Amino acid sequence: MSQGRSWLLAVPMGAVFTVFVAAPLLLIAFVSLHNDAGLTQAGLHAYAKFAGDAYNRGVLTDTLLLAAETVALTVLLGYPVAGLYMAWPKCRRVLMFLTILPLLTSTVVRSFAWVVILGNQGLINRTLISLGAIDAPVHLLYTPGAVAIALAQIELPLMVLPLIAALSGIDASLMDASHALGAGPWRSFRRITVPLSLPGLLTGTLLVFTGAASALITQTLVGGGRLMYMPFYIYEEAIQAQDFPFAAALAIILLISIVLIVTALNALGRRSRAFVRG
Amino acid sequence: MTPFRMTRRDTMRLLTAAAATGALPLGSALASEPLELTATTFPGAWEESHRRFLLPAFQKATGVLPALSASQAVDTVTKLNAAQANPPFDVVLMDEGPYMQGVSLGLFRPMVTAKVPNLENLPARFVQANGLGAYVSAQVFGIVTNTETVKKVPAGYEDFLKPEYKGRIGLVGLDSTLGTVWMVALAKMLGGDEDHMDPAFDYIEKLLPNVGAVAANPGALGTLFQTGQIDIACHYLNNVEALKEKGVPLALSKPTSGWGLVRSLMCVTKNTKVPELASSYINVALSVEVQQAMAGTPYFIAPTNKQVAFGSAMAAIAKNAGEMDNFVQTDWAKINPRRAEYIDRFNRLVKK
Repeated sequence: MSQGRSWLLAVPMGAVFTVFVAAPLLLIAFVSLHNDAGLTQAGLHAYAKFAGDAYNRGVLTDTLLLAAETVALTVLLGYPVAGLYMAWPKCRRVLMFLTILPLLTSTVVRSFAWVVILGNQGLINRTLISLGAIDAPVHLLYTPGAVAIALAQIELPLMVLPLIAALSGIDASLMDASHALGAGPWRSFRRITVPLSLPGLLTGTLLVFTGAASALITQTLVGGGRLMYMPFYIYEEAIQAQDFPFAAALAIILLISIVLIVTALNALGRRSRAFVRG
Repeated sequence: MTPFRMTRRDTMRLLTAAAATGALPLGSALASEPLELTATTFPGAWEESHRRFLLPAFQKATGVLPALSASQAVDTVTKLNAAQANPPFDVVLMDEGPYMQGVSLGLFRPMVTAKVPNLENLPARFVQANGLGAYVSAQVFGIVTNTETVKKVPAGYEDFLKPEYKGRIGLVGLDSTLGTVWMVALAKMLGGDEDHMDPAFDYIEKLLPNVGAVAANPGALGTLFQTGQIDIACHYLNNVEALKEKGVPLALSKPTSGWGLVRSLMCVTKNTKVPELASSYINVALSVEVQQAMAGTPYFIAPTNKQVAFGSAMAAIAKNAGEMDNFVQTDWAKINPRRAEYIDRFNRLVKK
């Protein structure tokens, strides 16, 4: 296909995007700009309702914090896995398989496994009780920490894969040079590995952050009925309370918050790529 | 750049792309449509028992095997309201609250009564006077306790407040039917009613130190019992019996304020293309054969057909559908307009 007609390649995706993403989003934005569920009166009531209530702002903050915590956990867990992948060429196939294994099972199953592990009668509490470390079960499940840990495990592949890609691009002789010039492993990691893998880290952060902020199933299953995050709040306002303008406004507010954070990260990414290329 | 010119190949490519994105749904429209029926059910015991008893019985009666979709009543109402002229379901299973919402939105049409002769076997209060729906079951709720961990069973809901039950009570959100009817039962027990719910909210506030977990939906209560997160809750008889069958050590007891009752109905959707078939489906759901089977082990879904006698677990609660008149019920016409307000108030109360 000549270059002049290569635009045809964009037609299928463009059509799908227009019909199933852009149009519904515009519709949601349109609905959010109404004061009543019947959509007869245009106005900003839904946004005012959100902004004027500390409870609503708290739900948004909790959701973004949860996503940030998940990112932090996946970075802590992801670097060692990616490092292991680079250090053990013989085990790469096994490691890659183990990394993407969670992606092959349903989110419901993965989330429910955490319910079983963290419950009062769960693996951790039973082990601690049988070891005599505690007398009564520790309250682990249905806490923000539990949701972050479960999400970190579920989203981990999305952090590890870009990190591996970034680490693979680092010239191994750089580490040797760093070592020869007297830097210890920790200093080499900080000064060489982290800056050079920054593009991968940012890609991973983007994927994990957006995934964690919108993970309705895991947030609901592991978080229980007492923790409220934006996805379930949107579901509840739309389906249970049938307040469509408010639900739509919540969706738009979450979307804009994520887009702002993603844009900031992208700007950071452009700077780091310039840095990597020298 | 070459001048823009569409060749035959380009046209084919465009058409293929357009067809793939669903812009040309001609294929399905041209095919002749066989008689089809899509019905909703609730997830869990309802879905299992409908697949096991109702669908085969309906296929035997009409030759049509319906497509069954598990959907909570509120979700169903939203889906029907969004679809309007082209409803995704022909016959739907409703709780009373969502049913009234559906009626006010004009989502249902009267049953074709000639196709529902079993209506004669229903007590009059189990048939909607407007013909928009027939009650297919009544669910009973009471106090559920874990028999292994709870030595002294609470006599009534007010006992949930005792310090000995600290961290052991389970709640379910007010966005569910169970959560709502329990709050109404609490309000009535404490001198309030559907329009005066403050006593119930005050009770929940006092109860919070004793709350082990809040289930996102009634089904999740089962998980909470199984994982030991909670030992006491208000729950439906049929869910409790289903959990007992799976070996979870539970028992249902009657609160001092009385058993609670939630009724479920089936309705024909307004713009269905097969109203007669949908009405026949309701008829089969009301038949002695199907209701008897669904009332038995392990589903325990209470029958409404007065020819069906209560058996096993349900015999301890009532002899037949007629005896349930005195159970605590909810006036959904009063609750519905304030539902969003109550859900919001509950969420703010229980959120940590």
